[in-house]
Amino acid sequence: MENGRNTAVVTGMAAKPGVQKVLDLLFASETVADKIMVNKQEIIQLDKRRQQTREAIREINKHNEQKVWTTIGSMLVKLDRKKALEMLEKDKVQIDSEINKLRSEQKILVNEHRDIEHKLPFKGSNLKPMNSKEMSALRANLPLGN
Amino acid sequence: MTDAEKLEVRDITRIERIGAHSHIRGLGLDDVLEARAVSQGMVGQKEARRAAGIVVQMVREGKIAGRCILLAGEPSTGKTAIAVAMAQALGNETPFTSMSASEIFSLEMSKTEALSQAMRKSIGVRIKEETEIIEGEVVEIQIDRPATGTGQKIGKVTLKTTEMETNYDLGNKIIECFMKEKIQAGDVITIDKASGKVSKLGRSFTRARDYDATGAQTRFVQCPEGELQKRKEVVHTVTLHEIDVINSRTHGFLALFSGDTGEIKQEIRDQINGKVMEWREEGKAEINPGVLFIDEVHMLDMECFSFLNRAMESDMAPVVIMATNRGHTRIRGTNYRSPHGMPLDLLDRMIIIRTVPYSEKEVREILKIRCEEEDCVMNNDALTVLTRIACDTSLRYAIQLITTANLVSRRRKSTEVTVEDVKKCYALFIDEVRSSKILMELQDEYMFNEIESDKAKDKDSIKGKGKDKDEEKPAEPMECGDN
Repeated sequence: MENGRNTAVVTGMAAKPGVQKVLDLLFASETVADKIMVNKQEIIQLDKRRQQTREAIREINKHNEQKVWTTIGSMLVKLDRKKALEMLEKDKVQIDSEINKLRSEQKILVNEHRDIEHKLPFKGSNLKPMNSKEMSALRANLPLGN
Repeated sequence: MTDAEKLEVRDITRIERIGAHSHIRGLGLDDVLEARAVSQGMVGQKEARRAAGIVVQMVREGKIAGRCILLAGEPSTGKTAIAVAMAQALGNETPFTSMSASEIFSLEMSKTEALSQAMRKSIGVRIKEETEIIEGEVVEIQIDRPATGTGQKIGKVTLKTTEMETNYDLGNKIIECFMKEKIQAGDVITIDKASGKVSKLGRSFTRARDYDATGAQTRFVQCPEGELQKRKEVVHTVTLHEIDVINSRTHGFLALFSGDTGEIKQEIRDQINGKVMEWREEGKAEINPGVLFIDEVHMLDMECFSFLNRAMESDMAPVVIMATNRGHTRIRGTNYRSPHGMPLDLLDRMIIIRTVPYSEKEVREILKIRCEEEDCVMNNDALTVLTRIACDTSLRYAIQLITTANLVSRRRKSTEVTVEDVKKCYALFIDEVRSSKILMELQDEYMFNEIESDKAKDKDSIKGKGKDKDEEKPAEPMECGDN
């Protein structure tokens, strides 16, 4: 839909080449920005799911009933405890990897957005993190701040 | 003890005394690196600023590591100002070391050691820290203690953000942390997932009305947004010198704060270079070459120049910017004459940026900016007089008159500096030209006045030693004149 609106505006003012360029840039930056916002929301939703899954696993572990009530989609099903746990664990792994994927995508998108706005990309975000041992050694000796 | 931990370490904003260049905020260039007439504290010198802007751009993109730039020009034409502006423009993620060449002459450290420390201070290493944290506002916290008082405690905490809410079961160890931090409902906390460290960020705004009386140290923060479990990535830039210092065992890390590092062994440097290279191979670190600025570079001697020549060829070398106000003169410590007092082979590697003397209009602008910087209200006539003084004597002298004239005007409880104040200061404090004139006139009345006999002696020694000794003599007072 947005795409349609964009072209409509352009045909009206096609005479000026500068206008076209500005609109193109705006369109590109808005598209990327929109994607970033969507991803952000998705990460939040996934994290919500992750917390719920974690709560559920704890809950099942606390009680030792043989069968537990679980929702699958909108259905409430009484499942075997072992089976339910297995499913939840699988969910958990799935969600974690999904979040990681989104986060790394987010980094690329943000730098892309900065590129469109003619800003330099964030430096160092593509580095591998230091391990905690190295970091704590550096932290102990250097004024790194928070 | 907990109170001590609560003491918050803030980044110190660099508070500078009102130095000669405290008014400079940047190079004052527009998006296409064209210099604006008056901007960010810079006035005039358009070509030099534009050139400096290009250098800054290239440094930012990491394109000119291991190069050398020379700022050359007459005294007080803004060489140091341009260097300061470059430092400001580069921002705080690019290391910028500023030194005066005479700093390297010290009894505690050899010259080359001082130079290589300065060089390593200007090379940053970028590393990344990654932590998974749980950040949220405590809705409810419930800790069950066993009746006996000792033994396993169990607990439950409900955390929320603006988007979600969840329960955590707490183990014994983390409960200890919660108790130590005195966490209660309404606090905004973060839990480091890897170490389990709990820290309190403050109290939530929504709970601000819970109590009528709160301590002054209570900090109110917004309820966190978004997901509960966040990943925090922080990119730090440390300089090679900092890593050197913490690893040079004889000094320990305290040396970093006291600034007294002494000499660092070459083996340590090699080891660190090796480690940093290893990190780089693993993709864990990036070298971020910064800028080393050496002011008054004609004060360096031959040994230092050849050291610099060599050091700039190494693969971890910063951009070296030098400034000098000398023309064709002797290289320090030798009898060779060379442009700018620097050896020709080094000069050959440099990009030279020239600064030109300011016009009267520009001088006026600069003085105006300095007045603002020193909170000094000066009326137009006084400024005109001061500009005249600056053109006749020197810009530095005129800038010093601002401070003194301001004091004089305040003494007579005036809100602005007038021509009379400036005149009074001009009479009270003499400039260099007048000072030397007085000396010439009254030299017989001063102590140890041996210039005549010196000259006679010099003439004798000329016959014995070098040729142009008496040429060097008059140049001597200049040596300390430009500080």
